[in-house]
Amino acid sequence: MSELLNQIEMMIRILMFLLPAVPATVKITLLSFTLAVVLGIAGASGRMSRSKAAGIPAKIYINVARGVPLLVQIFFIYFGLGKLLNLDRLLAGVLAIGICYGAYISEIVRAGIQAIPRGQSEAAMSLGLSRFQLWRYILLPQAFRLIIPPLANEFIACLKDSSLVSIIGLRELTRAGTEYYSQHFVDFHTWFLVGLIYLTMTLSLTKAASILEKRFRIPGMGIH
Amino acid sequence: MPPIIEVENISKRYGDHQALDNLSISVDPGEVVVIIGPSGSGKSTLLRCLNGLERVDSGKVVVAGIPLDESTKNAHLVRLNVGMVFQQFELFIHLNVLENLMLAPMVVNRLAKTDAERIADYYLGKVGLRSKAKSFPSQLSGGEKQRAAIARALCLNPKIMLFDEPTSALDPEMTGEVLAVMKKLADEGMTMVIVTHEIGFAREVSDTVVFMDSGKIVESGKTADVLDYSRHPRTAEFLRKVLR
Repeated sequence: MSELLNQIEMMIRILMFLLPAVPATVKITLLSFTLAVVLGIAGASGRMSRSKAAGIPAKIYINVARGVPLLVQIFFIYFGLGKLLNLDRLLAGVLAIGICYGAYISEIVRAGIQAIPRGQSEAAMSLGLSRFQLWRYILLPQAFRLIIPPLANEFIACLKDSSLVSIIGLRELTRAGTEYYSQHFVDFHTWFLVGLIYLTMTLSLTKAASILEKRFRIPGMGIH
Repeated sequence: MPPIIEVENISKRYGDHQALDNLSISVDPGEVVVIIGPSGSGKSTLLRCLNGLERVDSGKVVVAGIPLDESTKNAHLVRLNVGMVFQQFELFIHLNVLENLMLAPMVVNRLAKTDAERIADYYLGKVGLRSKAKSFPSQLSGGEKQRAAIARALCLNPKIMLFDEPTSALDPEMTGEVLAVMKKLADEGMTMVIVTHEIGFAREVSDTVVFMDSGKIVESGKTADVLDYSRHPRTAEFLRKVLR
């Protein structure tokens, strides 16, 4: 009985140590994902542009950023560029994750926009909308509905991959786990709880995504 | 009055297919022109060249005094003067009917929301769709969709309306309501260029009928002349097939 109580007490102690690091994980995830969405839209519009001046840089960006391991990008940006540009840990971490995920999201956005019938664009252009207005008012709102599921996937992956920045000493959830372990040498409980906190967050996101899908349902788009 | 649409010797090709072959046509203000012809004859391509959705390979297109050349700015200016109605309606599926109508006045003409709403409401009344303002396109019948699409184009107060087979995707019992709206527009003096297979409508509404085949204008003239006394055997043969 007292053994069980000891176990519970230890779990609570570890949790109390880990939970204060959760906001940092959330912050890194939100900042990098916001950057990734902006880069994703820019990358997709570049790739779909008729102008080579926009198309070629976009293609290079997408292929490089998704072709190099994220961990290597984090090292390169923090240790490589970071020394030159004097980037702090948070900025370097957010940049690395944002740039990498921006490449994946570019392709998701492009797929979403290419799924919209051409006639929608022609109607918008006939009404005098500029290319920017066409994207802003017609293509992105329609594509967004189509790409909520893969976008939610990327968001969840991004949350999990935020743990990689623990390696450059950014104090987030995984880093807190490492710290607790190295002070107390309790490995099973520590990593079980770290995993459980991540799982709680990702499952909440899954739920949020399905609410979003319902909320943004477009009648007659042919999807359910 | 000078013509409002001037097309001189335009050609357009898609790979091996000559869609438009050295074609010329002019349209006067207030004139209603119906273009007929077999499918693949270049009717839709010609129409799409009139608002810059397609660029010609050679020749000259001047609409409302604005030359449609390489410049995107001119294409934009032309589109402010030209409304277009499509076979598949192309209402924006993520917006309701009212929002479909208000979008261009707000975004392109930068009108305040209340002003855009007033204009949209006026044209919805005109096509008899006030009660459907809050409906989404998917909740409308084909005829209602096309009337909404016409109202949407009218919201920018265009000088010219282009119709690309506006009733071809409709069930027969719905073509009447769309043609009635178009007739009303014609009666009000709108310049209209209409690609259609509705010969009866052409006879009733149009001033001019143009018969196209293989990217060329085979015959054009006053509606009754072309329909009843076609000079060209190809026209007569086409009309016989369509009217049977």
